[in-house]
Amino acid sequence: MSTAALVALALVIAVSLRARRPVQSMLISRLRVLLPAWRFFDRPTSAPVLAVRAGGGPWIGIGAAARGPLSWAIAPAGNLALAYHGVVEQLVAEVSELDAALAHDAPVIVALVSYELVTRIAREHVPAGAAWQWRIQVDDEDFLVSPELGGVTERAA
Amino acid sequence: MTAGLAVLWMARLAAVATTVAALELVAVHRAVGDEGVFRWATLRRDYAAAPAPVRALLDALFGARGTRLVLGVQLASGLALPWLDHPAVAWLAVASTLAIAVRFRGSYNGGSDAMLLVVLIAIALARTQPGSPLELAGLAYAAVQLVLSYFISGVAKLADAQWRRGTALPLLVRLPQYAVPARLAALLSRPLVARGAGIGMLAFECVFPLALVQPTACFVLLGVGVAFHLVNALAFGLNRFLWTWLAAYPALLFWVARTHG
Repeated sequence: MSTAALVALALVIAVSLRARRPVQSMLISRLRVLLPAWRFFDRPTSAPVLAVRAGGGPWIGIGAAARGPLSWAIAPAGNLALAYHGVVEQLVAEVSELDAALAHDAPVIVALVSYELVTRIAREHVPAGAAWQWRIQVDDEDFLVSPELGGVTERAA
Repeated sequence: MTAGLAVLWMARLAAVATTVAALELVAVHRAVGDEGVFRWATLRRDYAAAPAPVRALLDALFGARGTRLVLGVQLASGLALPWLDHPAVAWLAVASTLAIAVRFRGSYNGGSDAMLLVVLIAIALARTQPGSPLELAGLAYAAVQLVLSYFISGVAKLADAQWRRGTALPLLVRLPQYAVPARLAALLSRPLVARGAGIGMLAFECVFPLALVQPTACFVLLGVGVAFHLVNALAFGLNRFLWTWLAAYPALLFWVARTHG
């Protein structure tokens, strides 16, 4: 019994130390909540940052929601902001799998569902009617910059 | 602690966790509506290659109306968990929680969704056949996943040099998505505090399996665990982790009591 427990422990350690690989199967990806990896904050790297600008103005980062006195118990806006951040991370992961030489507005990138989601997140943070743009920075470098959207472009679409 | 009492306490705590999860999405329902960021018209593109009947089912389930219905089922089943011990209630909570995760491309709130499902599945198994090996299997499943959640997380961190050096926490508290309160971020960025807190956290996670073999260690580790999740909720805004992990604790307490008298 104790030998079996030790073997199981060794297996868990071996699996835990293996490098993380992206899940290829969509079915497994959608049901991954049933197969938890239990790796939290294991690689403390910098996070991608989504920012927007309207009318060619300054870039404004889209960050966390403001905390309230009950946020430790229930935090709808905070967790929605974390879900938005998860979308940005997913887009970065998906684009990183593609050819690095691709233009930022290459059809294969713009067609990604994550790209559309990020565009919709960004649009929530700019005034209606203005021409606007979003960008994702990783380690303070531009990773992905959208073409100018909204204004005439959006009305035409 | 009897198996029945452990399941009852899990149900009470899971009721809080499930209700919080459902209410949080109800509060931001605009985001899943027809014009919201997570509107189904966008997400359904993921399933363009799926067979037509599957797409029709998903459209019915995850459109704005379907999502409201699923959230309603999650909220109602979550609230009913402590009061109605019919297994259908727990299985409805499992199904609606899983559906919400699938709708959000696999998860809405990461690990907390996974642990909530672990706890709900354990309760559903236990209530399907109370007093049977299935009940014990449900409790064992939750207890093992709870221990693994800490242990794997700790061992995975050991592979990273910044965690071993004690320099990881200052990086984490500066991540903009968590908006850690400025005073706490400043405190945790002090080298001595960062090193102590980081190594303490690693130690807590890596020694957690001791909770299975030593009752006193179990009580101490679960006490530290409560404080750990409370600090995470206050510092990083990870409120759902507090409720879902607490809901798994009775399963571990049951197994430790059963094994060690």
